[in-house]
Amino acid sequence: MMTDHHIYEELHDQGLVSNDSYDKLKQRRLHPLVSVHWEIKTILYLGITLLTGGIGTLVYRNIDTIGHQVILSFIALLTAGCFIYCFKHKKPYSNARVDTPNAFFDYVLLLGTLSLLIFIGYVQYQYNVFGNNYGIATAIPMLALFYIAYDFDHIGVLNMAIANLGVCMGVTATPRHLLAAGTFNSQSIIFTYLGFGLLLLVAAWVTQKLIIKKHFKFSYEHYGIHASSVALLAGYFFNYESSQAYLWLLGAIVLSVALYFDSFKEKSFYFALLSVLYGYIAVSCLVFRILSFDTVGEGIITLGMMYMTISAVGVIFLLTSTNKKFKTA
Amino acid sequence: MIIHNKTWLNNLKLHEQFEDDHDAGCLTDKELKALKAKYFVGFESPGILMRTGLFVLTLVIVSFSVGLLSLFLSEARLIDNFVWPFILGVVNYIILEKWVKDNYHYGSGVDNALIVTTAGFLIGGFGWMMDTISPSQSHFIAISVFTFMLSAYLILRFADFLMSVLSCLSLLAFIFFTWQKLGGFGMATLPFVLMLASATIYVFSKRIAVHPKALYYGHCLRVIEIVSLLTLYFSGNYYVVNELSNDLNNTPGAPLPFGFIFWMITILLPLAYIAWGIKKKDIILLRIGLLLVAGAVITFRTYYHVMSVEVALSIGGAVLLAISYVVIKHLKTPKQGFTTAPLKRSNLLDHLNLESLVIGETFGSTGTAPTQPASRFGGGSAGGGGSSSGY
Repeated sequence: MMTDHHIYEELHDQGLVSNDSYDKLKQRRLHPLVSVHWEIKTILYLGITLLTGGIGTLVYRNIDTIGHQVILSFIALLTAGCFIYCFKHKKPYSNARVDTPNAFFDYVLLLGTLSLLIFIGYVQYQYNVFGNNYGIATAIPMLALFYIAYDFDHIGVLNMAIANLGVCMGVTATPRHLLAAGTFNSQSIIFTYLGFGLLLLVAAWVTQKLIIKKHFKFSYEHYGIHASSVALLAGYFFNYESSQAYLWLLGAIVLSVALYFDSFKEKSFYFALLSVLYGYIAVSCLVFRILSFDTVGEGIITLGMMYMTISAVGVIFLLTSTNKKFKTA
Repeated sequence: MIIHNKTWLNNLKLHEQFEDDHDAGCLTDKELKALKAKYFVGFESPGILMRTGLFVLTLVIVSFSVGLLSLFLSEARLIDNFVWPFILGVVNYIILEKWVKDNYHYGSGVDNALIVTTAGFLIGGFGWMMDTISPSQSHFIAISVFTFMLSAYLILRFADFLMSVLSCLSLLAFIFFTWQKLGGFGMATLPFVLMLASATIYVFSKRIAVHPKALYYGHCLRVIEIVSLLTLYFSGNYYVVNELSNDLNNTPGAPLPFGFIFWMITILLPLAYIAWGIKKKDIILLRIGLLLVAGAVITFRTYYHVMSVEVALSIGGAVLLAISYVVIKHLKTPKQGFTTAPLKRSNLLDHLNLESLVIGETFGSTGTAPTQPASRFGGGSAGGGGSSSGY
């Protein structure tokens, strides 16, 4: 591909490529570069995952044999070292996106944050500094995480902070855990999930409205849309017997529609897709509920299959037209 | 042979080149727009999210409409022999051809899904037919030959990358089942034959990629490269060979004869990939090599426990950090054609914040460590409260 330079000669002659660009293209062909950016990032990330995982387990296993002070001071030193480095190299805070000073910065910050969390957890485990107050014990790391995320402009830490907010409220936040845990077994936990999800959606809205770190909106909305939609659908199935169920379903549909139109603002196809997906599930629940009334009798399987075929075609058309709108608008 | 509009395919290649140069900062936005307008491409090829969505929805449509049809016809006992899947496959194929021709879909998800279902019905029907003809034998060889020929045809016609995977694997399956018939000698040499076959496929795809007629199949050939590099490694990986030979010879737990050969392959092949990738500046080789280093480490740790997991993790992590530090320092100014700077200014991975989502997933619940009560709300074995059990 890199050798197809003759096409640019032609285009250059036709005036479609400027002299300046043409020289750059020539240079690029003379000195082709291969970027190992993603490879290095992955290795760095893996290294930090393994190291913190290893140290965390080491500490946990040897809690009785090594002196507590030794462990504590080691972790504290690691944390302090990372944060000293970060504060030294950090660019001043701004409401806009702040670029990282160098390739290592984000990962040093991540390492420091993780060891800080290990430190807090260890102190609480050993010395019980926060007593048995579950709220404070989880709120302090959460606040620290939010502070780090905003001050250093690190979306990865923001996602950890959001997940910790969930832990603080007593729920797990990440979509994988949401689906795997299967803990929707009481009304109160469903309401907690719903509250958590809606809180995040509000945060997403505020982020965009007040233009504070606008690129953080994605994370809030991502976790918010999953948590609240799953909670609404879980509410429907939990209350399946009572007429309240329809209210939950209605909530899910309304939320999907609202988020669908909101996705047009940012032209984010990801959120359009998610809202269509959750809306489709909710509508399908309603349709199958109606079909399962005795009126149609044996025909339910046929009608159900017809519904699935036709509705899937409908969703394809909806998605295609949405995609076109995003491209042209 | 290929169904798609060849002018557009050529222009699509140019678009890729323009975008690549634009990302590298060699073309301005305005120039890119003008060039793209000059070389028109009319394909329906949406982004990865849309593509996945359409793929799944098309599979839903096909399965439910086939279910509906089968339901109607089952009363008349029309669907209980192998002709039915063949009919479905052929109808599917006709729809696919018409859809792609009329709507200019090229890797839109819809065409990918219809190709998969066509192949599925026809291969299923073929297997059913062989079973009807001679029910007592197994037909792996015949089925793998049929699969290979079908997928090769679908690649040539639609340039579909999923079929590239299938053709590669079915060819290797054919060799596997044929060689196995040779008895003891066949069993002993099986790994080497498969490695040889994979290497041949790799060299073949590399060689043919520069041929002008292969221009439209570039992405298929890249997929074949990746698959053959992986099969080359796993045909010689100690764990795979050991487990498979014990399984096929019915000798559970027996150590592998000439095990050291496979240990050498397991450990050295990924390093060879990396070295070769650096030498040839081949990013595919480099990436697969890096990935397989992990495979080698996991294989080694399955058999030898030289240190505890947490020590291994800590040391491994520290080594990885050290390596990346050295590489970043070394490549601060590009050397030997390598750089650590991102060449692409924006891509989908950045757009979706994939990295941050991974961080959220892996570290999301480490925060509160071992203090909290197992569950705040009680009830349910998993507990609503605290950190995930996985961590």
